[in-house]
Amino acid sequence: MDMSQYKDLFISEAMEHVRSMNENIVSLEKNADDREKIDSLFRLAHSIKGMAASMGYDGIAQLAHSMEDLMERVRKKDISFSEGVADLLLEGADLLHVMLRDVEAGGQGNSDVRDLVARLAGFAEVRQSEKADESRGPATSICNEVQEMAEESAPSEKRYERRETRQTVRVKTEVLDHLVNVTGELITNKYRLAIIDRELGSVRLTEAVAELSKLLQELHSEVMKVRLMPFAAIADRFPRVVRDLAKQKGKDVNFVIEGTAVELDRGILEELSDPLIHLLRNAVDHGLEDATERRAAGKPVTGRIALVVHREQDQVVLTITDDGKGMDPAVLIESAIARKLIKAEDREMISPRQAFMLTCVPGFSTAKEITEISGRGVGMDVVRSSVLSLGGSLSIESELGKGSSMIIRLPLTVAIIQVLLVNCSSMTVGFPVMRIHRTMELDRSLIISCGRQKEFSLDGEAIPLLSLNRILGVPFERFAGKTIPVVVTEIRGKKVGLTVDRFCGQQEVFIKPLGSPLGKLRGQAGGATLGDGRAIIILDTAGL
Amino acid sequence: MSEVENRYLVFDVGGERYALNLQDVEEIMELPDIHPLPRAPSYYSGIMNCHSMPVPILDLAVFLKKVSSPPGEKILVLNRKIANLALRVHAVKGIAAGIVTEETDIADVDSIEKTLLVADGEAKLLVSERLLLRLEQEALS
Repeated sequence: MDMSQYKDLFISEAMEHVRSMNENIVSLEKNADDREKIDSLFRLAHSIKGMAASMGYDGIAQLAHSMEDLMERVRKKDISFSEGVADLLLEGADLLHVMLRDVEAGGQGNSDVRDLVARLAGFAEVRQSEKADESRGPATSICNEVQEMAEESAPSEKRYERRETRQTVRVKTEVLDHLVNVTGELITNKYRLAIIDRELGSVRLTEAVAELSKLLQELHSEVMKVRLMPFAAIADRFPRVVRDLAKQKGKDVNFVIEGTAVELDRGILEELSDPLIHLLRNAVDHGLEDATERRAAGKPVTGRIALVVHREQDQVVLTITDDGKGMDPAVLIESAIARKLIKAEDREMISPRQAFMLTCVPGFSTAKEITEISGRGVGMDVVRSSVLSLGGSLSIESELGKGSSMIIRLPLTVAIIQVLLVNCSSMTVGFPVMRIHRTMELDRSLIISCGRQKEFSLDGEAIPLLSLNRILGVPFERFAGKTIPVVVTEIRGKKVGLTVDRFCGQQEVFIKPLGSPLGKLRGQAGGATLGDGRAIIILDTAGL
Repeated sequence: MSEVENRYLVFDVGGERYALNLQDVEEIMELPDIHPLPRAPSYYSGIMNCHSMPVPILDLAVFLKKVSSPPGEKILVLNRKIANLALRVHAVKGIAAGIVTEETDIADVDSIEKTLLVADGEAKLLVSERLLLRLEQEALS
């Protein structure tokens, strides 16, 4: 029977099982009596064994089988879930991962599993009296708390998995991306039709376009939902990363994740994984002090690292905080001067915040040892550019002796939004409709001069009048008309009227962040392409 | 000095020869419709519609302060993974293998150019990460 068509499905499911195994193992290290997780681990190994056997991947099946057997002994309470068990299973999970990758690349997933299988089968619990107290080893208690912000409890019950899988399908992310793009294009094309319709003035065409519009709205909202995934989708691998590194460095770490239910665009999530792992490694490696230093500083020996994700209006904010040694701006500045990254005379002009960001300049590193863990200072600048390319920002806060926080802000999604198109001289820009208080044709006679400022009265309020032409840096047009188009919006909390040359109608556009290098250009929230082929900028009123 | 042999795209800006790592360039095209870009530094020509993406165009001749008149008619669209940017140049010469001479002087760590040795001479290799970093910094001011 030709199994090759099922290969992709097998790999995707098996990989997910391995990830879940990692999560369960790390969790059981903290709480070895969690029956649910013990059962779950058993079932995961069992599933992988079954799938691999039916696909003919005997090496994988054999390894999974021996892991299943070990878990069976734990289930039957022949042995307890000890550090030794955890280590063996983690080794098994890693080897499974390697073998699955091999299958993905076209191989048979064959690795020499005999040694590990033998050790799994031969595992005997070390009796309490044989272990000296101190030999328990550093960093063996990793606490992994994953808290949900959503009301409903997390769908973690594996016994419901079968029911769930019947209602879901696996789809390649490229297919979904394509769907989103095509939907965006459809909407743009709808406007082309609308333009033609205006010229032709056909009633039947108008009706058809209106119907099309409604259907596209529906399609758009469903497709955007499909792109959202909970943060948990990438967060499940983090506890393992922190645990392994902490153990390697001989540090005791309490790692907490909050906000795993926060939903993010899938494309953004995928890009976030590496930068976050790097920041977590930095926190363990460079942020937290070792046990002796912590005791000397009067801190609890167990260091704390927290990864918190939450939504703020139209942004997602991710913060990685550690209670380690923090950073000294002065040391960073001196180091940058020594590397000729900044001039000595500029020493005074750099704020602490800017000093912390020096760590993101390519080639910068104050680590005494350039460890293979966090790299040669290559990490932070890559993190920063990844965040920027997603249209977001990275900032660092730190207090010497107390700890540091890395803060990543990201836009929620690639979005399709309503904009009002306005003309200023030869420039057309888009005004997000959500930011518009109202639009009006202001009678010139109602404009009051107040010193150098112009104002007008709206609902009894005096509203300053500014020229969008001037803000955008384009020339004015001469008007004969009695009225002037004004958009009333809010800038930094105050109502403002912006004069433009003309209104050009309202449309939906597919707003795309400008990324690098102009992503942080003030006054813009991204760009878009219109039905008639023009590329325009969408304004960010907060930055004007 | 270490040497790295790679493939590069060689092009002309204001009569001088420049190059980019081939992996950094996604597409070469003729000058498209350019739309205005508000509040950007003056070395940006504007913004274009590139396969339904709004992509800013940087006039390299203006940015590098070379002879810029008449302005270039060729566009190099950069690899989406590193930037959302297109470069306006005067002519595209072709693809060449080349050797970069690494600087050992740390004072040059800021420079966006390195020297590239190609078959028929030298070209100034633009270091994409540094160029983008400089552009980002200048966009903020």
